[in-house]
Amino acid sequence: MSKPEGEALFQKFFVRNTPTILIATSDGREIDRHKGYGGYPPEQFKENIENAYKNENNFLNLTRAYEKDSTDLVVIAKLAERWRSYYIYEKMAEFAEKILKQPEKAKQLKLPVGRDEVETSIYEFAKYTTTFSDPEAVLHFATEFPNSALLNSVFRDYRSFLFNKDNQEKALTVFDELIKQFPENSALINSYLRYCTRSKSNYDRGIELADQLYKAKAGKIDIEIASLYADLLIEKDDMKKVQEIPRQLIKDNPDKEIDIEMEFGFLYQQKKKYEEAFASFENIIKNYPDYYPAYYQVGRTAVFSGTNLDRGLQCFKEYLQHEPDEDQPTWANAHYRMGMIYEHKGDKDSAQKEYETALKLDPAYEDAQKALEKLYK
Amino acid sequence: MKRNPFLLIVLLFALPLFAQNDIWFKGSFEEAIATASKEGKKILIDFYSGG
Repeated sequence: MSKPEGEALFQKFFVRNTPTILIATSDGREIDRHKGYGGYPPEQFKENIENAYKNENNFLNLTRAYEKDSTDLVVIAKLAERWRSYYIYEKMAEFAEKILKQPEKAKQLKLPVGRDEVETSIYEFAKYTTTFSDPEAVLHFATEFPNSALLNSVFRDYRSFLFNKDNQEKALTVFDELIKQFPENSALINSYLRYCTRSKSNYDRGIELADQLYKAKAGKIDIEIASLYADLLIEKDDMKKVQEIPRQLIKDNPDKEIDIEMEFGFLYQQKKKYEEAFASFENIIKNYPDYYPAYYQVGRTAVFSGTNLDRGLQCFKEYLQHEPDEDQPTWANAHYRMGMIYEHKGDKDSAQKEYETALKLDPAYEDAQKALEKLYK
Repeated sequence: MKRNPFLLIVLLFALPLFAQNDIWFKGSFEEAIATASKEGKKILIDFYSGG
């Protein structure tokens, strides 16, 4: 297939994200699509594709229903929702516009929509779709539907306006209005904190908003927002307050201790607060000695910090005593990192052995290959 | 290295998926449609990015 023809197919099917697996009828009509490979085992992947084909609400069936009756608002809304899920907002808006021409009828009909499949009136859904276009549309939606179950999703997505430099000033002005109306909304504050950490600006305002939320909820905030809050506090070098946050979270959510310590351990690593990172991962080892990723992270922190090298090696050796899950660092990763520790220690022979072992386990491991090549240069 | 965002491969298949007679198709999309129609198969297109 030629390159122009390939490009034309991307356009014909409105494929904007890769990878996308699209299945079509023998005459080339889209039946349905699957975004991403998903990291599924082959059998599961195959089942997902086959299920998309069998689904009565698949894209082809919806399109056929629309061709049969182009006034059916439920079908129109399902197609708008489908385009939303594909991130093809111009097609979503095209269908949503048809809904908004019949507001009274649309208010009577309901549909599960959004990431959380919330049962929503079709009218509210159509209004929700307008929030993708402009920060002011978010303000209008939030004012018209202050109790909407979709509001958190809208506020979570607000970060994209804050990140967009072309529209940032307007997004910040509208944010000021939104936060007046929803001062304790975690999703909205989450968006703002992300903007602060990404733009490395407005730390004081971010901390002020997070502080208010933290106090209003008596410390019962979610891990994600806690980590963002701590990120800003680290920037202001308020380590005392930073350390209070995970302690309070663990007190309130003892069943999530591992998640909280890991999240903060990674944050400390990233911020080069190595002493605190060691403490987080070592806490996990102390309380959950069978949770092996914590051993790996102690070792990794030793690599980055150049300290506690013997403890780092000991932890990597411990990590190698178990078979890692698919989403955990591999044994090749552990050997590569051990090589780095030996380099820190000035023991090039041992470093060489570790890099070679990493390459034996994963011959395509470029970092290990490069480290080996550099070792005696 | 410049990445080429427009890569795809086409599979002609009958359910169940990935049976022995499924073929990775070489040719234009029009030809894929013609072959799929003739053989009563469906079309799977893998849109992906590559270097």
